[in-house]
Amino acid sequence: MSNERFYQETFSQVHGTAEIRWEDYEMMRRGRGLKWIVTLAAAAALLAALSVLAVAANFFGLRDVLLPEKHSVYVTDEDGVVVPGEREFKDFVSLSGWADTPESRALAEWQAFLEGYDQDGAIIAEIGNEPTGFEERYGHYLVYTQEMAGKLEEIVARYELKLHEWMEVVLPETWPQAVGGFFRENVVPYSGYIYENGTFRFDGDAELGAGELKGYGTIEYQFSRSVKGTFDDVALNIGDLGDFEEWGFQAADGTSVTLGLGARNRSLILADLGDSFVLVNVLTGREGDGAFSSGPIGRAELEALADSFVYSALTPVREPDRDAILEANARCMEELENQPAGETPAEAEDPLYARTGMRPEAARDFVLLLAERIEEGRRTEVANMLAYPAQAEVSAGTFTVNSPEEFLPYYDEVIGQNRLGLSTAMTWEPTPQEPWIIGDGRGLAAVAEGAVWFGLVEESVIRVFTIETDQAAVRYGTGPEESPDPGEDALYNRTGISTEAGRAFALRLADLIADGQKEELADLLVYPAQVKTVNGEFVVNTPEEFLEHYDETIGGSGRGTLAADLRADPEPFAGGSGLASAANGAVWFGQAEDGKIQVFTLQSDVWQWSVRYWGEQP
Amino acid sequence: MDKARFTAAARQYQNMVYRTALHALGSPQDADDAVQEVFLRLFRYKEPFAGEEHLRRWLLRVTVNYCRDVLKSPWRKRRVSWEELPETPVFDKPGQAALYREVMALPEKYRTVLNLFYYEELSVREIGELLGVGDSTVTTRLARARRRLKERLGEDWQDE
Repeated sequence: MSNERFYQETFSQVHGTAEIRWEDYEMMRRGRGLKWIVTLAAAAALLAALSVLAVAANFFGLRDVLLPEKHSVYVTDEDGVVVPGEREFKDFVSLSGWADTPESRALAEWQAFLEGYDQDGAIIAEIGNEPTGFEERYGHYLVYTQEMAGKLEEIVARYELKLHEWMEVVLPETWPQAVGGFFRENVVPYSGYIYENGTFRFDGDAELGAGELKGYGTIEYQFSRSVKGTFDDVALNIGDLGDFEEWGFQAADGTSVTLGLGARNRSLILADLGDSFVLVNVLTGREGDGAFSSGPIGRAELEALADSFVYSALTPVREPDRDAILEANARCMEELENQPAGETPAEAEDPLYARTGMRPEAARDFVLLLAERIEEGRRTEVANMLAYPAQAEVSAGTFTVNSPEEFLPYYDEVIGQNRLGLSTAMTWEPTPQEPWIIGDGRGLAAVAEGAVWFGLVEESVIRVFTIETDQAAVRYGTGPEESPDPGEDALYNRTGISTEAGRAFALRLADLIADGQKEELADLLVYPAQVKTVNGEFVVNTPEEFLEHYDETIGGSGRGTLAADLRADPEPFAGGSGLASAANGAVWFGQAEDGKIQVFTLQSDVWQWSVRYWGEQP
Repeated sequence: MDKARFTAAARQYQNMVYRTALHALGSPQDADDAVQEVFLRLFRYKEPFAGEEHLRRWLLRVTVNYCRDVLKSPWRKRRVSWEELPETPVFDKPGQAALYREVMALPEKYRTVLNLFYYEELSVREIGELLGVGDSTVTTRLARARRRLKERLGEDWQDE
């Protein structure tokens, strides 16, 4: 069976439970409210047992919100993929209030029950994908049997709590309508959700641009307000409680809050407002988190974020007006639908994003981080921010460098001796200039009056393409300065191969690879060549010698991928040493002595194997 | 769009929207929410469609964009972990459950590309346009996802 059929047969059996009815949408349009078929996800945390907590010294701290026991979560590898069978234990905190409150004790008890229930999934497997009949009353909780329903009822009765009855999505512009003005101008809330009792959660960002923090950039967080008296089954994994530095702080509106600055990439803000409890999960810490926030933070940044919310505006709790929220959402949707698909309004209007794919805040944060590392002489970290392969242009000549390690010997001459000048120029005005478009259609942006060029190398990954000073430079590939002017073929100037001929060669190579034309491929390589495979490294001097390694290199399982990469990306670019590359660096080719185009390097997309010319530079 | 056309579109494409959202978001509950949202946008969409294929592509694009917005929300991602949900669909054959599990264990960007390529049968170029990434990015993601599936599924997943 083909993979395609296997895939289709499998996923054709996966169906949702949402019911799409014209009449429901009609009701919503009339403002009478839409009864969404929502089955909320189960809580992330699973707890083992209820126990009594030690109380921290002088103020209510993180320990007072910690759920009784660490709990295991799946381990993920560096790619974010779950490692089967491996789990690690983490601390969890309740979003509902201090750990000795009825809400948090109920949560601990419920999770302890879930921990031991249907562990092998046999019950849910028997139920399959059909509705259980428990959705109406328990739609916001993980309940699919009568036993679970009974246990949940028992717990909420014991702690005198209610169950959530309804929940609505709240779109960004609807927050003031739904909850009121509880955040300052530097705060941007994203979509979130609100329950019938006023419990709400959303993700947001805040610009820390005041005072000494000017230019820090955006900080991202998750905001939770849990109204007391109702059972809520959400808890938060905070990693290790010992990683947090805690202190009490009086926010700008006079509310006392507890701050926890994480050693790594999470921090917390807690506020007990009497009738509700606020927990802000800040997505950065002393190490920072490149995925979500602009960089590392310290106490001042966390306090500035804490000042960004008006906690006193959240109490006393007022119950949300569901119809008003739906109407405000509908207005918001109307505006969104009039925007072009694929981009947010802000992105569509931003010229930097339109031309480079980089969001302005991401570009600025990258520049500031680079400047800081240059200024502090963090050589390896700076080298890691460059795109490779690159050419180091120094007084002794021009040298191709393929990795941060290879660049480091040239670091001082290119960057080190201009450390302060570069970092000052970059931070003087960190907003990138009007981006300059290089020949492959990817936009680069410049700062420091063109001394530093940078851009995306893949989705969400920014790298430096050029750093140039009066004395030296490092440039990726063609670099902005070598990009073709209109009517001029830069590839030809650099390699002696016209762009058209290079493209045709790449496509021919793709055909040969796809068709398994091993002899012709072997003839296209330049010898001697070094062959690296999982079985070792070899030097081959003739096509015949190479053919002995054909099946573990070009002819192996990655053949189709390499051919597809070449067909998808045949546009040649000039690199160092007079060679051209295609397929994102998978192939490097150039003119041999007899003027024919030949392959100097071929490599798999995951570095499983490579074939490289092993003689003097052409 | 009138009621008859909307109802027909919902019947025909609801599962496609759900699958696409499930691949992107990794959570059946969030995928159900996405179905509601996407068809709400269809309900409100005023422009005519040039044909069935136009409608299908429009729904795919809106689904992908909606999911992208949702994925910007780290709260959602942390609120629930796929592996901790007991709600695994029931499949006809054992190998299918393994494929489902392994696909869902991949990061989002790989899942989405797999679905669009193998299920929706879009070309690399079409996927690139839909996701706003280059063709080489799509082929790289496909290659890595295939390799991971081959490692985990063995002979059930063919070499390509």
